[in-house]
Amino acid sequence: MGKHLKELINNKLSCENFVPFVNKENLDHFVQFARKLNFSMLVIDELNRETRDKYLRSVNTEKNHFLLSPMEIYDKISKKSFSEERLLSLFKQELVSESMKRSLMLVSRTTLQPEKLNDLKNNLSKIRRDYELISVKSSEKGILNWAAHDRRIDYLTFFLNDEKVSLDSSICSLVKQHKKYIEIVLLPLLTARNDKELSTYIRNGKKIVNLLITLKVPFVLTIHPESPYNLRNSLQLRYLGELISAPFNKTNASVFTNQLSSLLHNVMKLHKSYLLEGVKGV
Amino acid sequence: MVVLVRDRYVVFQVLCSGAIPDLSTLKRKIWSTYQTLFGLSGTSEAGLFFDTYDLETGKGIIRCTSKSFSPLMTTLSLIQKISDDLVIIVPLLVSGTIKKAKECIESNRFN
Repeated sequence: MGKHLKELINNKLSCENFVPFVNKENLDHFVQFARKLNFSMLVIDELNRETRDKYLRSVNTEKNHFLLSPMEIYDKISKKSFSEERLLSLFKQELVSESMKRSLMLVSRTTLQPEKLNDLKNNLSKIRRDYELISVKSSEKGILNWAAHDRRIDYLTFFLNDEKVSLDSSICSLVKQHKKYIEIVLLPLLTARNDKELSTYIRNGKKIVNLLITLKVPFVLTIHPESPYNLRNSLQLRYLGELISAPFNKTNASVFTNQLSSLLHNVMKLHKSYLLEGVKGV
Repeated sequence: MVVLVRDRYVVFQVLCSGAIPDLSTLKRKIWSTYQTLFGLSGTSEAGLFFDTYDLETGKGIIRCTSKSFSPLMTTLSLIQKISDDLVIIVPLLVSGTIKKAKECIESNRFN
């Protein structure tokens, strides 16, 4: 009881990992709504870093500086520690204090949906520095296997309404080994047209989650909202996860910490002080 | 030995793209979604009771048994449409006593 109470009051740290970018007005709408719901982080799909920074400059004023980029927060904490673990906790603390002021961090990401492996390789080399997070969605096992190896990719994305889900134990072990995450998109649960569809999506979700939990593979839960009214905070995401057999006590990291840790890892790489893996210029 | 069934009071707020739905519409939606997900037997054990509901702010209190707290939260998270309007039902607080739940609504802590 006490635990639930504490969590409900402290559910300040919520994030949506996969917001589609349509246009500026739509983004404004999402930002307003996310601030109303006390979100700390919005990850916008197909919005590159340059466009995001332009948007931040256009929205923020000197008096009202409520939208942040991850680089701004990293600049504040980067000199305090060299350990990635310590930096993660500092980053989280900074984000909590910013979200108390109703600030919101905007992150850029892209989702690649290649048909052939060569398409993925060509695209990746072109866009790797344009986005903070890169995800791959595919139903081809060969592509997923290769993506699970590659260090530029952060997530392998699976929708509950995918006709063919190619996730198996070999891909899972590669994902775990290379410290990536499986991303499960829960939107189909909200938009199912009838009970039959809903039960199909729940069954698909259960298959994926059972495999991930048995093999102890880290995963993230996301909604991929079509409208701001599809946004769900971290606690609601965890309860939706229960519907697809993801136990409440095992999804604590899946709604915020995992997302933040992959983001921090990439922000460190994109920072001007980064030289090599584990080495930065002082 | 008699086992006491504890109650939980969930304070929630409805955010809606149109007008805030009235209590009977909201009740019907929550009951039907709960029944779709957990069946008639689950619904009968849930002990759902709508205690307070303010049409102006969209805030209200639902009482349920401690065992059905988790299914109720799943149900509230899953609802996204009430009579063609998009909605979010945001849980604000869960309490074991009605007094604290009412205090939360009156204090406007989550505005």
